[in-house]
Amino acid sequence: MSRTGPRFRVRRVEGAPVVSVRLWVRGGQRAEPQPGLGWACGRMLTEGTARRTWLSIAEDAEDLGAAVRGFSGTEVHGVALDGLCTDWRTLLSWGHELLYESTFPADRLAWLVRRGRGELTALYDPPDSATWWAFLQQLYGPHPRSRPPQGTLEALPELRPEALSVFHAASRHRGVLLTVAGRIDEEEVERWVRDHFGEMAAGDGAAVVPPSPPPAAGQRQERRVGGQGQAHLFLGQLTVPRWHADETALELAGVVLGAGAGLTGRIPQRVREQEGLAYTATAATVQDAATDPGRATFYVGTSVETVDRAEAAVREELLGALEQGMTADEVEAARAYLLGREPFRRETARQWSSRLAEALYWDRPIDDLVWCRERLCRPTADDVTAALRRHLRPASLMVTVGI
Amino acid sequence: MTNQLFPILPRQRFRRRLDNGLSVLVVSVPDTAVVSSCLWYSFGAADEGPDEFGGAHFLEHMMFKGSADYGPGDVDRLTQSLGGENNAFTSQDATAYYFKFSPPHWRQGLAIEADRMRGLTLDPVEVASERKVILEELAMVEADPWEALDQAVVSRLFAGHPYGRPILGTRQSLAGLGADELRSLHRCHYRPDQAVLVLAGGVDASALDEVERRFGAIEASTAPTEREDPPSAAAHTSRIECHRGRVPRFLLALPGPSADDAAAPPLRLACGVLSGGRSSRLHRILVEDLELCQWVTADLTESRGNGTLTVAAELDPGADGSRVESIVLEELDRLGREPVPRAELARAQRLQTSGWIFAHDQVHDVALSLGLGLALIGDEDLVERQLEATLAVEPDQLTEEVRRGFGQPHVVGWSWPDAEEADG
Repeated sequence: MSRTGPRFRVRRVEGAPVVSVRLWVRGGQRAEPQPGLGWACGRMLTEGTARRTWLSIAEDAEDLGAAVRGFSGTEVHGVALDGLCTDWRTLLSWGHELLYESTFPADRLAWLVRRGRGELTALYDPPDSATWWAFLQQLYGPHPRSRPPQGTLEALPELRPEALSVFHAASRHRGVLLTVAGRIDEEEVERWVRDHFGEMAAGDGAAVVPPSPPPAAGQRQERRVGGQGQAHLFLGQLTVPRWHADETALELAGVVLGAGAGLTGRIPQRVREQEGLAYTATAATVQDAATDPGRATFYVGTSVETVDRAEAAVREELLGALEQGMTADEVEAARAYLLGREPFRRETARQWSSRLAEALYWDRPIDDLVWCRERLCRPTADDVTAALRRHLRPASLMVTVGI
Repeated sequence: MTNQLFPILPRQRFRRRLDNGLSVLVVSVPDTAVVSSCLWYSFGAADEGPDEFGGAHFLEHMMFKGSADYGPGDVDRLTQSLGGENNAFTSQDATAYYFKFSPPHWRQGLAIEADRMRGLTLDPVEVASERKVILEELAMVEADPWEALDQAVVSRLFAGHPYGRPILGTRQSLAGLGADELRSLHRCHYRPDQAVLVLAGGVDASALDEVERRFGAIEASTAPTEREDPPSAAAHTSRIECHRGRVPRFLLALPGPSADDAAAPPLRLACGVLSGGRSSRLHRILVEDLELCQWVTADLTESRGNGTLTVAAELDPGADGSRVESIVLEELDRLGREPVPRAELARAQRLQTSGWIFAHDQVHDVALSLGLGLALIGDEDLVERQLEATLAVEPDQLTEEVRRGFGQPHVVGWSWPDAEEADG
C-alpha cells in the first residue's frame, strides 16, 4: 500500500453475514492539546454532520440494525460501523460522512461534557477502578496517559466545538486509515473505496510528542477508595514501547509471571494458589505498549489485613525471576500460549477489521499469522531473562494501595 | 429479513446420548481454526440445599484444584502450554466449564473434563485455601456499587426463593462447607446424566466417538432425581435505598418469564423498544432529551424458572432521581397501554437480530448458546426459536405481554451517593 494513496485494507471473512468498517485518524488522547479533547472528538463524530442530526444518524443506523459509534483511544480516534454484510456500501458512505462532515454541534458538546463529568465521577466508584487511575497518575505524571480519556472535571467545561474541529482536521492530516472486513467481495469493495475515498489523505504520519513520564522512583501512595475491607494493590513501572527490540521477550516474561491463561504464572500461583490471599492476581510486563512505553503492572486484590503479605510475595517472585531467570520450559509454555491465542484473535469480522487497522497504523504485517509466529519464536529463555533484567527494577516500582 | 438470514447458526450438527445419559452435541464449522468445548452441569446455586449455600460456586473453584490425573493448577498450566483458554461460571440454574483450543488440541479439554467428572481430590488444605479466595471474591463483589445494589434488589425480589440467594454464598455458609460436603455435591450432581457437552468449531462427527471413549465408562447417578423447576416467585412491591459511591444508580426489577415461556420473546423485544439503541424510548428521553442519565438499559435474564426483568440506569450526578423513576414507570405503563407503531417495532426487531448475529460470530458463543438451551430446557434450538419468535411479535401481543409482565409487583432499588465514603 502506497503512502501517497488512500491507506486501506479489505478482507473477506467467512462466517456470520456481517461487515465491520473501521476509520481511524491519528489523533486520540496522546495528541490532545487539552485534557479530554481526543475523547470528546471521537464521541462527537456521531453527534451531527452537515447533512444529519444525531437522531437521524442513530435512527438510520438502527433501521438497518447497524451499530455506528465514534470512539477514541490513546493514539487514534475515529468511527466504527458494524452491520449486516449487505449494507456495506451504506456503512462506508456513513463512515465517510462522519469523518469528513461532522459539525461538532455546540448543544451536543455541552451535554457530552456533562456526561463526561458523570463518567469521570462514576469511574472512581468501583474501588479497583479508583485505585487503577490513581496508579496511572502516579506512573505517568504529566503525560496524557496518566488521566482517564475523559480528561479532568476541571478541563472538560473548557472544551469548545472550534477546538474539536481544528483537532480533528489536524488528526486527519496526520493520516486516515480505513479497513473493511466481513462477508464481502474484496474487489468490489476496493473499487468502491478508491472511487469514494479518493481524497482520503495518506497523511504525514507525524507523531505528537507529549511530556515525558517521570522516571520510576519507588514512590508509594495509599488512597481511600471505599474498599469495604478489600484492598487493591498495584505495583509497576514503565518498560518499553511497542516494537522495541525487547518487547517480545518481555511479553513472554509477562506470561511466565502471570499474564497467561487462568491462574498460571508465578505471581497468581504464589499469591492465590499457594497463599490464598486473593481472588485476582495478575501480572503484565508490556501492558498497552504503543508509541509510549508500556507498563509492567502487578495487581493483587486482597484484604486490608493481608496487603503487606501480598506485596512481599509479589516482590519475592520478581526478585526470584531476576536472580534465577526463567526456565526453558516456562518460556516454551508462554510461547505456546501466545501462539495458540492468535487464531482466537482472527475469528470475526470485527477482530479482523481491528487487526488490519493496527497493521496499517504500525505499518507491520500484524495480520499475517506466519509473521506473528516468527516474531514469537525468536527469543530464547536466556533472551527473556536478559530482557527482564534489563528493564525490570523491583526497587523502583511505584506502588498504589487503594483501601 | 428472516429469509435472508436464517439459518444463522451452523447446521452441520451431530448428536449422541451416551448410555450413561451424557448428552453430546457436535457442531461442525469446517473453516474455523478454533474448537470450543462447553460442559454444562444442570446444577446451580438454586439447587443447593439449606446447608449448601455457595456450594455450587465453591465446587466450580475446586474443579481446578485437583483430580486423579491433574494436580492443583495443572488444568491451567496444561491449557496455557497448548495455547488454549479455559474458564467456568456458576449461575442459579447451571454451572459451565469451557475450553478453547486450536483444532489439534481439543481432545485435551475432553480428557480433563472426563477426569474431573469421575471425581475430585478435594484435599482439605486446598479446600481451606480456596475458601479464602472465595471470601476475597465475596468482598470484591460487595465493594462494587452495582453488584451490591443488584444483590440487594434480587434478594428482595426473590425473598424466600432459591433465586434470591447470593450465588457465592455467605461467609457463614462458606465456613460450613468442607471437603466432605463438596464431595457429596460432586457425587450427587456432577454425573453424566445431568450434563450436556457441546463441541463447536473445527471438528466433525468423529468427535462423538472420542467423547464416547472418554466419558462412556463414567457411571450415571445411582439415584437419578427429577429436577424440579424453582417455584414461581411471589414478589411484593417494595423499595431499597442504600448509599455507596458518588453517582446515583437505579434498578427496578420484576419476576419475568422462564427462558422457554412464550412471553419471553415479546418482553425481550419490549426491552429493545425501551433501551435498544439511541433512538429507543428510555434512552432518548432520559439520556438524550432530558439529560438525566448517563445510560439506561432494560433486560430479561434467561432462566429455567423465573427470569428477571430489569430496568437499570446510572444518573447524571446532579439529576433528580424521583423524576427518573417516574419517567421509567410512566414509559412502562405507556408500553402496556398503547401498541408500539410498526416502524418502531421493526427497528427494535432489526437491532435485536443484528445484535444476536454479532453475539454468535465466534464458535465459542455458538457452543455456549446451544449448551445453555440444552442445559436449561433440553432444547438446543432455544436461542434460535426465541429470535424467530421475536421477529414474529405483533404490536398487540407486545402490549399485552408488557401489561402482564411489567404490571406485577416490583422492587425499586436506589444507590445514592455517599460523600464520605471515598477520597475526592
